[in-house]
Amino acid sequence: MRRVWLIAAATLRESLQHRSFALLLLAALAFVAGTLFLRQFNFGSSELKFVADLGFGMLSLGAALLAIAMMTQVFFDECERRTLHLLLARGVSRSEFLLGKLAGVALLLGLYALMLLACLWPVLWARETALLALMPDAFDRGSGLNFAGVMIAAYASWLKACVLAAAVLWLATLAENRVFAMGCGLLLLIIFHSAAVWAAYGSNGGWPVWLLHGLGYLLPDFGAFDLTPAAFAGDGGFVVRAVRLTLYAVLYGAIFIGLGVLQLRRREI
Amino acid sequence: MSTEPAVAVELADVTKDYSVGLRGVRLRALDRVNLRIAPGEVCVLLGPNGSGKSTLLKLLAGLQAPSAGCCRVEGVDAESARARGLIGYMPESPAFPVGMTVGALLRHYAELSGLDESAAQRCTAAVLETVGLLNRVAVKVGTLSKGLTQRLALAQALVHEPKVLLLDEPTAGVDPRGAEEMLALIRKLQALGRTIVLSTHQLEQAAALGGRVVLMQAGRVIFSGNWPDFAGEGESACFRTEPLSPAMRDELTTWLAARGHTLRAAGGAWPTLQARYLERLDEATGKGRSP
Repeated sequence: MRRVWLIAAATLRESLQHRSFALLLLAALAFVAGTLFLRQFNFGSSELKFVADLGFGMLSLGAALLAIAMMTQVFFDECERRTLHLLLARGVSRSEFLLGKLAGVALLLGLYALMLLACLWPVLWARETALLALMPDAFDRGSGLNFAGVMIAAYASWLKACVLAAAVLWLATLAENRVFAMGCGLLLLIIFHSAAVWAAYGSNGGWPVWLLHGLGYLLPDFGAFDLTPAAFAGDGGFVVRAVRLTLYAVLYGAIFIGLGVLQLRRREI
Repeated sequence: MSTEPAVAVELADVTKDYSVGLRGVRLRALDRVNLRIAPGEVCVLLGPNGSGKSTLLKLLAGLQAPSAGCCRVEGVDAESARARGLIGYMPESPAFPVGMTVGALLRHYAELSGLDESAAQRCTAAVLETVGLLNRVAVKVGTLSKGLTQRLALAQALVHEPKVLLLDEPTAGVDPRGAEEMLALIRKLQALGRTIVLSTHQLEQAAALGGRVVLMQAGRVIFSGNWPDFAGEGESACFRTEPLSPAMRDELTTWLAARGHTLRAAGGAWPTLQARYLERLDEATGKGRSP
């Protein structure tokens, strides 16, 4: 595990120096802060929900793009610089290498999510306070902001990005170049978001329908990670949801890393 | 009684095939290579690009598995975890993360080799002194020249104190002075008793290292021996005279022929190692070269 941690720490350090991370983070922070201007449109009590949707949307989209871009970058950087040779030649196993890379990017995604949350939370809190002052009956009981709910929604977005990063890492072990891996990563993002729709297809019909139906059950369902409504729900049960989602993400993460290790063993380096 | 194995590096009937393209066309990179290198010996791998030198080093570094045959380092399988601690590998022209300092990078590699923090610190300081980078410990890797980056690459191969060093073109892209400094470092390591296997295209500089020379072509070893044999010192004799006219050269050829000798080459310069290298490659491909 020490080697995994060493590789993860080095990956995080290096990723933080990439301009794309800083640019994406700044853009996301500006976008979230910019939702304060929505007050001009006088949406009333629904403004809070709207701001939360935009904020979590930015968190989710930004984390997904970061997962694709950074995972591809850190993997191909190691291959092209031949530093992968240096790691493997000194006894780092392929699984340690891939786990370290994934852990490094997961830490980066966590940092991104935390920073965005640190910006989103005050925005949501400020708008809720302002709206309550204007309209004391604006929110029904339990429909206001829920801190634990906001946290779990952000956590779910982070988990989703980590699963995507694991899938992109597997793709990178298959791909010959980073552009191909990034392109396929974007495609995977769309496919994983469609998994629930495919699974909901009836199994009656020809083989294409059967195939889609089967794939819908086989692939990770990214819809399950959208917990933005939980930010407003006061029904509790957050720990159970968090544990369930974590197990779901770990299962798919382990599958993708396992596939990546198998492919990296076959790959001529 | 010494427990040192008689052979530091051994390749027995090693064949390596790569599969190329979607159809998996087989490309043979190494073809039944046999090689035994004694502990403390320096072995220089020569050959044109694509002759299999880097593949051979990668197999010894455990980065790839042979398609047939076996590679051993100090008596253990080259792919085993134990062999990893015995070898130090320097790939051809590696690039390092530019934002790290020289010291931090070496400590990172030392810890990845399994050393604890204090041992990593100690080994880093020692190896920096060996390669002459002690005064650059806090310098960012991205600011180093090509020559210094190559020295850093050598340092990372040495940081866990391996017995066998595998160096893939350590002087590639380095200016003559930098190359000379790198070879001086290799000589220093040789004097410390390290077994060194290196590939290079710098014939004259490699010859100064002495030891064994292995010439490869199309995945096969076409020559293995010492440098005097490679240069053909036992096969021919060279004399230097004032310039000879064509008539005198013909006369000399006739004179030698009458005594059972052949004038193999005549020219204004001594035959260089490069000429011998090209001759041997041509002999192996059956091209031959006119005198």
